[in-house]
Amino acid sequence: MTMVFNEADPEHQHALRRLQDDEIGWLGSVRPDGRPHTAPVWFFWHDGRILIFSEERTQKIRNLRHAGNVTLNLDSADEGEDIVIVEGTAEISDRPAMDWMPEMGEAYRAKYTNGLAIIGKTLEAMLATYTQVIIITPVKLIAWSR
Amino acid sequence: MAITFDQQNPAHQTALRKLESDQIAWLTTIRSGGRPHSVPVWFLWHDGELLVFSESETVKTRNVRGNANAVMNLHATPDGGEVVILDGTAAISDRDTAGWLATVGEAYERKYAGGLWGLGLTLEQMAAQYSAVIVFTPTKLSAW
Repeated sequence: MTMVFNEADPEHQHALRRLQDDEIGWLGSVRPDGRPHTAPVWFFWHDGRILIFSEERTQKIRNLRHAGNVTLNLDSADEGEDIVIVEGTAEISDRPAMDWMPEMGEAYRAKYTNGLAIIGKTLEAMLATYTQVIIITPVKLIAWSR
Repeated sequence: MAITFDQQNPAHQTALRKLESDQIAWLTTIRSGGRPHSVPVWFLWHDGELLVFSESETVKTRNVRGNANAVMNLHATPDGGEVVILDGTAAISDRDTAGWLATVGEAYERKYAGGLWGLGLTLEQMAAQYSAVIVFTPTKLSAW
């Protein structure tokens, strides 16, 4: 756990639960030409960092190879309450996604049981093409639930 | 250059419906140091553009003045359906919010009646506080 999260702060506790449970996040990154890029992603909270599996030839991977500053935000409530925004730095893991499975594969499978059913893939089949692991280290958390 | 919506594409029709009725969008801009910034905003879909009323000195208005490139996205469903992402450019309007209300005030008040009530602000009070108008012109629609 990094110092970014204050465990005594109820807003942070709530944000942390959402970072563990929410299925969709929005990854904001910067294209090599300086324009912003936003993409919805599956993500996994792991050991104080956020893991995202990606295919190799995607815009977000190209962006992150160029610059690692990112945002990850979660959808708010319909009226705009319940905001969770993580600012952080992203790197691409040296290890392919499959190598991460011993430590978090079953938890990931459990989180995305429904999602994997929707895309009609097993986790193993997904990882055959989603080989890249983006690791986001949070630098700042912005959260309010009112 | 405005985006066009394909009448035959259900995702485009969903996007259009959500642009007209969703209460919250996310605006992503670039800070002067090159880092991205994302923030939830109220918006009004008007004449092919998105209007965002803002206090005049915020991170997003500073960013837009320095770099017009922006992305707006709407909420998806919890399992990732109904994705709507707009790439585009943003500019601060020469007209302030009060000036825009003559054109869009009625539509804005209809859309955000509940939200304004929640803030305890009349439309005019909101316009005085959120006096800057960010005009986002989409150049590309990604919807699925």
